[in-house]
Amino acid sequence: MKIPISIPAETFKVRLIDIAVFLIILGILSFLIYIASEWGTPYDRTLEINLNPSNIPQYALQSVARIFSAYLLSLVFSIWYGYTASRTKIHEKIMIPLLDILQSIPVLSFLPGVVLAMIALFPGKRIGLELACILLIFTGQVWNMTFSFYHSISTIPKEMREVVKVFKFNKFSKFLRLDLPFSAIGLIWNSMMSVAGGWFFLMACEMFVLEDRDFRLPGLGSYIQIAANSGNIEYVIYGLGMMILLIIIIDLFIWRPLIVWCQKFRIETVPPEEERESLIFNIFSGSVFIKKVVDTLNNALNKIEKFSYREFILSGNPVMNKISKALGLILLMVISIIIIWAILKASSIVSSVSLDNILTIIKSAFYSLLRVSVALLIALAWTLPVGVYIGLNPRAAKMLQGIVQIAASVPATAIFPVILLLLIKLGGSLDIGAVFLMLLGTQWYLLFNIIAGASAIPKDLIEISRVYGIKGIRKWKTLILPGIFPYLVTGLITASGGAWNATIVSEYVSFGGKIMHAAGLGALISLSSASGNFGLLLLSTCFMSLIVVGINRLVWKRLFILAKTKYLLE
Amino acid sequence: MAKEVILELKNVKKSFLIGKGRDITVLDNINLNIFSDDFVSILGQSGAGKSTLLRIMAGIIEPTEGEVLYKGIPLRKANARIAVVFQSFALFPWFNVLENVRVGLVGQGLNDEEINEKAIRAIDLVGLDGFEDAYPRELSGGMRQRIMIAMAISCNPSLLIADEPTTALDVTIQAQVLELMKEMQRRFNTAFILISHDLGVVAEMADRVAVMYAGRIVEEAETAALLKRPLHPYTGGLIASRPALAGERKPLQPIPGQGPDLLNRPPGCLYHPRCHRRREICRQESPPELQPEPGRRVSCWLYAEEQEDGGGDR
Amino acid sequence: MPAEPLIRVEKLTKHYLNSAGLGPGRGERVKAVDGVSFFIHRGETYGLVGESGCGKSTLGRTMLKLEQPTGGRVFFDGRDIFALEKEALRRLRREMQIILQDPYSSLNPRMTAGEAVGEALEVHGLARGREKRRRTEEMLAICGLPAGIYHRYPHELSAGQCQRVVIARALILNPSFIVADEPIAMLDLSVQAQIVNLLEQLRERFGLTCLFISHDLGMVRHIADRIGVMYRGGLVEEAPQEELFRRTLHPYTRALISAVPSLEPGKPKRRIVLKGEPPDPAESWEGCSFHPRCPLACERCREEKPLLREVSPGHLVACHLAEGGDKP
Repeated sequence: MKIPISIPAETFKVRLIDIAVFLIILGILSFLIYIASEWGTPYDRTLEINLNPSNIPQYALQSVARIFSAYLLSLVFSIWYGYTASRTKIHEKIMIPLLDILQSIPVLSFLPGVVLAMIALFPGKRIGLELACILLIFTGQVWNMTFSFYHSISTIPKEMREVVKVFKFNKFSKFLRLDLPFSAIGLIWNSMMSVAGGWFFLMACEMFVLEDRDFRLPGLGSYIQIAANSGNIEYVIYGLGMMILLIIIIDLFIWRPLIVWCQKFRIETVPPEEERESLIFNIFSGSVFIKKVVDTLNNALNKIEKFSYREFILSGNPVMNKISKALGLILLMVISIIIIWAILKASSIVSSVSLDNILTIIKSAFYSLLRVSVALLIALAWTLPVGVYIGLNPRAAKMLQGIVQIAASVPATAIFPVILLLLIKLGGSLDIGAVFLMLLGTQWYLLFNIIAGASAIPKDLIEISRVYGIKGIRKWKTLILPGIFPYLVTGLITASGGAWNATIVSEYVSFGGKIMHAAGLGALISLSSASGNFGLLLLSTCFMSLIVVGINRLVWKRLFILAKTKYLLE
Repeated sequence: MAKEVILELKNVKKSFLIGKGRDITVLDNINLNIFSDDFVSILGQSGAGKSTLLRIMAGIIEPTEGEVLYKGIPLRKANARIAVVFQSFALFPWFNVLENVRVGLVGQGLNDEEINEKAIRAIDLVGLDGFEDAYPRELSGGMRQRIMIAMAISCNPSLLIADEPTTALDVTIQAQVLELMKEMQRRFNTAFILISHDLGVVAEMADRVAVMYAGRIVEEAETAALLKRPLHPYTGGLIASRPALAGERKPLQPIPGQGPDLLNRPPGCLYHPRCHRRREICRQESPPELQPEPGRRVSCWLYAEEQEDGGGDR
Repeated sequence: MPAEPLIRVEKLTKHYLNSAGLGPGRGERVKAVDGVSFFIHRGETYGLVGESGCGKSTLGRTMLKLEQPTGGRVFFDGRDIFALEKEALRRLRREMQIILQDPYSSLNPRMTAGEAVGEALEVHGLARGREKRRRTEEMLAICGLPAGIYHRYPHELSAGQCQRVVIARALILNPSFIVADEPIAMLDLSVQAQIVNLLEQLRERFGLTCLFISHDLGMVRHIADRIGVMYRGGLVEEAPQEELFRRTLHPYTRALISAVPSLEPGKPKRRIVLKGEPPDPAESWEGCSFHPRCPLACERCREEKPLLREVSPGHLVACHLAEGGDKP
């Protein structure tokens, strides 16, 4: 049996690492202070983005700050929303479909509302715009994390929940020792996707036009945009290079070690084919300093946990119960009033939209739908054979895993300028080109899910098929396709959602001083957002939301239920 | 040592709603008393209702009808010291052995040193000292089961319920775990309930056996008496369907048919479709609980009239 | 002894590269099956017992070439299986079938019982249409299943019924050799007896030769003619069923037998409780593979690996202390 050996702490190597870690933490602290000072300055309306490449690092840092602030907000929100949604059946019935709808609303639709609100709250100060940008990024990151956390805590195995009941855990203990660890793996993987999503939307969130006011924040996104607008390919490449470098650094220093660490939260008792390794993780785990930090954290948590068991005089008190019930009712009333007011306001705005525009919306929706479908079909055509191959061959998986992961995390929007250049050179229109832009953003979801599905086919069945000599088309028909079907559907749902989201940035692009746009719903939304035509924006957003959620329910969810009942290979 | 009653189940019934207004009765008319020096085994195959019974006894779920008393007080109000040894997949995979055992003591209101002390003592007792830092996935099934036992005994329970503790283990490791459990019982004088489908394990460990079938206790007796002279045909059938490890090879006599369909409960005795001694009344009415001899209970029409049949040997 | 045995296994070896885990042992060879030799006569049932990790399942699968063997040979009716070409092997596979432990994962959940059993006939081009249907229904009935089962899906059947379908599918091709790998481990006690009885009947009826792999010593004793005990990739004892229990020679076999709980309470159990855990298959050492846990281990056991030797007619044992043929 493997008895873990503890690394002796008094070696020269470790001391060096300690210093390194200490310096890193110092660096993070100074970074935070710099950001705070930057954001406290008054907002300069005529902010110019200096294209000098030497400015890239500081722009990059600011973008990173925004993305991670948005991420932290998403994390807290996901946990809160997940818990609240699983409280009662009613909560669940309202909040989960709501999540679905929220996920279908493209980031840009939130833009005018969020920006105007923040500017009104902090007039003249840059912090207002920063908050707006962070909130916008947040809307692109949070939904999948929320789904993941909710899904995790709803699928905790019965035995574990019962153990916790037998040991009479209170809510805090349950959260700390069961719910959080159990959802850790899902949260970490979704965090990766969310932060990648942050990069994806960075350009749209840092620099945008609203009611012919030009808003821009110093950051990597705006840098790349300005460079692209002025046709300065060289600077675009510098900016892109920085972005890719940052992505790789974050991957190496944060995600990889985290993924290695979160393997301890696995539930299966049989170890997987191969364990992931990270050099950085190994280095960090050898550091005495980090050990001390972790220990202090653990002790603090233990103390809080013990404290939570103290009998609060107020908890069982009937008066307190009445007060909290009353508060709940008041909150409900306030929310209802806000909702009613919002609906009234919205309908008045919407009624200002002309019939002509409505027809345009319908036509554009149709074109976008066409594009999304084509993109999905093309993606399916190549991800299906490749995904199945990788899934069934663990050796191939090992080799390709790293490459595919990096390729998938590079945001498509960063590569857009290059593709657009090609497009212009080839003289193609954005109507068709948009499909390829969308493809870049969605095919990875499909690929990963297919790989997961193929590797989940029970080995017994594969063996028996071999014994009976079943191969070729028959094998696909009876074994592979049914086996991956649930995963395929999950992948299609996410991919199509991603495709619709990508219409915003792929159907309407500003490049080299020119504005290109295709006939589509995404273009319409971008246009109306920029021109401040709220009525059109609201209506087109509703349309898109309706289409996405509609297809989700009528097509994907039905397929999913079919998958679970008829095709379950378990 | 005074023998006190730890757990009493009176007419416990448990039904579940399964949509469209239908319900399924998983436990029916369960009466069982557990005393402080008991080692009782509940024997039954899958679908007999053992796991539901376990959960009711441990206070995880409430019965639909009937009551459960812990030392005379209703279980849900009592501050019951009941520990459960689940099958080994109920360990926290992200905690090492020590942390897992500490988990059992979290809600007890002890301070850190006391928790550590009790946890380490429990780990020692089950023979896992030295493995405090190991994680469950690095350990074998037998060792994981021992962690669960350590978790259960660390808080010195008055009742310990073990759910199929050795089912997933190799026979030689099963031997180790069973010996350990016997020792624990001797040492702490805890009341023990062992739930199992394995006749051999039950025979070795328990003083008393309650045989379950389709949600009812069909027979209860002291182990030796039960094995030598089973009264209920189901018990007899179970014994006869097991091959012996010594003596000549005899053909196995399996119980024909399959387990009862709880959704469509046939009238009368639930075992009668498979019973080779069934009579007319078995088809019509469910048999009551009878006490044909002191210390033995059985739910079977064969013993209703105290006729010549009051032997029921096979 | 009569004619050539139907199955002859010669020094079968299967090694894995240990890729799991980050600790020591990674990248080392795991000797799952280490040079095992035995034979099975026509019509005989050979019981292979051992605990988890001993390699018995791997042995069964490697024999049928479901796993790539690392070394050794397997002869079926005198023909070297491993030397055959793909097409010839495929045809030979009809003669050798396997029944696995989990009935539900052996059946395609999208196919009804009838389709699953009939598929075998179709794939090997043996029957189609009405003939296929007739033979399928016939086999399902022989396996004790009621007529309506033909149209049922696996998830609608109990585990016992599913396993019967698996058996029907294995037998429909009329094989001469069956490997049953823990066929009853996942079934209820009362159903186990049913399936074992069924296997016995079918063996009689079709004259099957059978390799019955199990950890359940009681059942193996009941059904097998000869028994082989495996430990850590190798056979430690082999004997006819009665002889194995009457005159157990290897200490591991003795511990195994004594560990099985008996149904006679009151009789004090002189149980041999082995110390330690079943060994990590990745570790290897000189000497006898059992010596770390053996209550009788001596110096020679630590240094020299005992070979499987015949100490009396039909009774083989790999133990230095049992060589005289007397109990050590």
